Order: sequence, then structure tokens, then C-alpha cells
Amino acid sequence: MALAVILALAAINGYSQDIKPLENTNDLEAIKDGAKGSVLLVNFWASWCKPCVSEFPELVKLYKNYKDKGFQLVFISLDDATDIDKAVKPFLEKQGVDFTTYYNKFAKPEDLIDYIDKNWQGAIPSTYIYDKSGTMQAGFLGTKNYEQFESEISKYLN
Amino acid sequence: MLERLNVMYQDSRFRGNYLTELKLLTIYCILDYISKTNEKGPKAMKIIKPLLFLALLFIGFTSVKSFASDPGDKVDDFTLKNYDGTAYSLSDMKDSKAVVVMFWSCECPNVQPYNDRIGDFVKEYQQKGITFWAINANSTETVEQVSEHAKKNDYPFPVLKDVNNVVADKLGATRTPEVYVIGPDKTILYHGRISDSKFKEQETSLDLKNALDDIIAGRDVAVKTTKSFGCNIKRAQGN
Repeated sequence: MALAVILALAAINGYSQDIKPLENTNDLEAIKDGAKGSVLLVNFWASWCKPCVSEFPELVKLYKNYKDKGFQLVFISLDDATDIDKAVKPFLEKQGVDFTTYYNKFAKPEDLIDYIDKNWQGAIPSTYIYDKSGTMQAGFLGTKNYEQFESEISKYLN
Repeated sequence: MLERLNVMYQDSRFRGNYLTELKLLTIYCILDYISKTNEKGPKAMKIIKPLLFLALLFIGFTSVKSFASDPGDKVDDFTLKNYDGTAYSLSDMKDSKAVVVMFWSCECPNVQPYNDRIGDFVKEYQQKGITFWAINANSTETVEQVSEHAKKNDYPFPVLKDVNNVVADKLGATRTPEVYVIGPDKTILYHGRISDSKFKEQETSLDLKNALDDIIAGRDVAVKTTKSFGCNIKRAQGN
């Protein structure tokens, strides 16, 4: 019985499409620290944001092509907490996301926005690129396509 | 460093800010000159190069100002048309206690939930001498759509079409909803969100209301800047 429970838990942990809340800047710090040594792309999106949705598959493709080449991608959803189960998770599954993503659960949006970029007013989609040492190198608003994202990250991959 | 500048240039937030573009161009030229004269050149370069570099740093820091116009900045005059063709000019509003400019959208899900209360809020503060204009700077939304949307929601304010997002660029607006409260002398008094939640039942901080109450009472606005997530403005030039 105990073995069955342990195996079940192991199976659940093995299912890696999970979406985790970000509640404070420590959570963000942890993500950035965890990505040191790799080029990190952070994309802010929401299921209700059409341009975010249109560039989403491009980013998923980018991740799959570069994840073994020193590249990490973090999606942060700005959907309401109540929409995570009914809108975000189905969307992620449909997009073939089989890696951990995050959603915003900050008490104050300013804390998240200002931590990332003081010049950012909160518009999405918004993408930030950090080099291997964890320094932010680029930030842009609005949709990009695969080639544009690829060209951006390539600058820091080696 | 050239790469970094290239990235900054590509960043749509800086586009349209001509002064920044000029500064960036100057930096390009100086850097180009330095890199070309790196190998050869007289001893004088040893003095000039560091000076040029210091000049670059200075220009560089001043160029990386927030793209959005901040409280305290002065806004240029502008004229935009409502969906019924009437023209509205900022300079005509000198007798208002303040002009509230709200970047709006027919579709953005961060704007629509405000439709249940924005009309009453606006009417209350119009009585107190505040002018309200919504501005639609989305190139993806036509004047017809704006007109239909405004009538459906019975807005007590005009919804001005910002063709080619000229005013959005001047103010550095990037999202909807995004609000600028402009004083009679065209100084920005408040910049940011309407409240801390698009859903009425979850609102805890009525930031725009608080700013307007301060202005009407003759007080300095206590919280001048707030931020919130929103749909990006769909600029004509693409972003």
C-alpha cells in the first residue's frame, strides 16, 4: 500500500507540465539564479491576450530547439488565478508545453513589474532576455516571430 | 556595446522618441569612429578616446529615461477627433481642473470589466470640473468599431481616434487601460491605472479617484504613478 502511494506520488512528480505561482520577488530571484549559466528568456503573456497567443507557439518551438544548447525559457502568465485551471492549463496542453511555467500571484502588480524593469508599464506581450551571467540584455514589447527571437537569443548563447 | 544599443533601438518603447534616436545615432557615430581609429592614430587619441567614452556614458544614461512621460513632465498640445468627427484639443481645456486621458480598447479584457462603472464615475467627476477623454490608439480597431462600442456602453465621454498612435507615442503609452491626468498647464499629475483590479468586487485601491480627489482639493497628488498589466497598444508601425 505504502509502495503504491510512493509510486503514485513519483508518477505525479514526473508529470512535468506544471504551472507554479510567483508570489514575491524571491520567487523571481530563485528562477533567475536557477538559470545562471544559460541564456534565459522570460515571456509575459495571458490567454486573453491575442498577440501573446499568436507568438506563443514560436516561443515553444524556440525552447524545444535550444533547450539542450544552454537556453531556458520561462513563461509567466498574467491570467487571473481563477482562470488558471479553466483557461491556462488547457491552453498550455494544447500548445505542447511539457515544462514548468508560472503565473502571477503577486499581491501588487507593481512589485513584479518594477522588479523586472522599471521602464515597463505593464503592457504585454513583453519579453526579456538575460545572458549566462544573469544580466538582462534585452527587453521588448509586442509580438515577435521565431526568427526574431532566435536572432536575439543567439547573441548571448556563446 | 553596439549590440546593446542595437537592441535598445529595436525596442519599440524607444521608437518615436526622436531625441533618443538622435542621441543613439550620435553614439553609433562616435563608437564607429573610435573602433575605426583603434589601431592607428596619434597620441592625442589616448586623451580623446576616454573623453569621448565619458561623453557616451553621459548621453547613454540620459537616453535611458523611461519612455513614458512621467508626472511632472509637460505634454505637447494635441488635437484628435471623436468618432462623430468633432475635434478635441488639449489647449482648449484650460478651464478644466484636469483632463483625464484614458487609453482605451474595444476588445481588451482588461478594459471591458470597467464598463460597468466607468460611466457613473466619469459623470460624478465631470460635475466636479474634470474632463474625460478616452483615446483609442489601436490600429486594429476602426472608427466604426469604436463608435459602435462607445454607443453600446453609453459612454459619457468622447473616444478619440489616435491615428498612427501619435499621441500614444508622445505620452509613451503602452497599454490599455492606461491613464494620464493632465493639469491646466499641461503638466502630467498622475500616470497609471484606474484601480488595482478590473473587477469591482476585488478593487481595494481606487488610484485614479484618489488622484482626482487630491487635485480637486488643491493637494499635491499623493500617489502619482501606478502600474498594472494590460493589453499592449496595437501600434500602426507594429511592435
